[in-house]
Amino acid sequence: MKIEKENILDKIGRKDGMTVPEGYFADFQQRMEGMLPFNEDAESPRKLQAPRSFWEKVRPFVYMAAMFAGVWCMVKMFSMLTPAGGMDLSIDNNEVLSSALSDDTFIYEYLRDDVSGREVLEEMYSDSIAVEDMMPADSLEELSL
Amino acid sequence: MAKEQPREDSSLIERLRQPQTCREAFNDVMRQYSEPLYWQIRRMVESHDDANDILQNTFLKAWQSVEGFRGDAKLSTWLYKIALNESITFLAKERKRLSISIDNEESHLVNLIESDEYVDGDALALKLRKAVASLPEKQRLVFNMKYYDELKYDQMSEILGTSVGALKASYHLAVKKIEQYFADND
Repeated sequence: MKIEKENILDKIGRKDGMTVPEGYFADFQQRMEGMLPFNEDAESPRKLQAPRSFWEKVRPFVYMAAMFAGVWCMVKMFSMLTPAGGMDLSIDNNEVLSSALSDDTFIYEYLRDDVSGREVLEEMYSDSIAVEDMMPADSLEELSL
Repeated sequence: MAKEQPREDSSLIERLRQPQTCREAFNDVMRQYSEPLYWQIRRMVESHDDANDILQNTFLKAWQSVEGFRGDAKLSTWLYKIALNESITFLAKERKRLSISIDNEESHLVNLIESDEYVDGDALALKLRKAVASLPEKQRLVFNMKYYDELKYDQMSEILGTSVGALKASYHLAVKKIEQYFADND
């Protein structure tokens, strides 16, 4: 049985020579119909979900907008409380404090009791500062040790 | 022996999606596709009994996952894929069970062909079956789909996940090997 190379498939055609038992496909169909189990996902009636209300749809966006508005208000408030050019907390810039500290009477009246006169004088001596240079003459008389 | 491809039916897919009609629609699917799927499987595994079991599993798997079938792919492509996976899995299990390598699968398939009782006695067709059985698994698959099932390369590409170019090359190689088989076994 010599067959030319190029004609092999043409000569045989689409036949594969296979057969099935008589009535196989009809039997198979019938058997399968009885074998299919209940498919819960596909055969259960689908639960209908109520459509979402307008408020439910926009609620996350409203919450987010409120949060940003709150942050913006806080930033605005801090910027209003801060003086232009930034806050200078040095004593020289505080009018009340600087005038009080430059007033000898204030220092003598309010700070004197808090420190020991002897310690102050000893500090001054060790720093080679003359007491006369620092205090008025009448004060020195009172401070006589 | 009608081995024609069934036509796609959009109303069938729509009925498959409805809980009330899906079982009846799936019965129609089985009616339409059991024959083409059977031949596809049978040509891979050669034995009628094995093909029968695999076809059964194919439809059971398809039924279990019918909810996931959205109709994006064609119904036939979806079923072909399941049948193909089932066939390849079966062949791998058989190789393991019989302790044969993928390279020695040919002799096992030839034995099945020779002992097959469901044949029409056509000697040439039988010889072609043996020639196809001598091909590597992928080439055998491509040859069967193109030659017997007359699928288009696009659809084969979708089912097998291989480029059209690679499929054409694979088919060409398969034909050459079959011709060589006939030349060697004259």
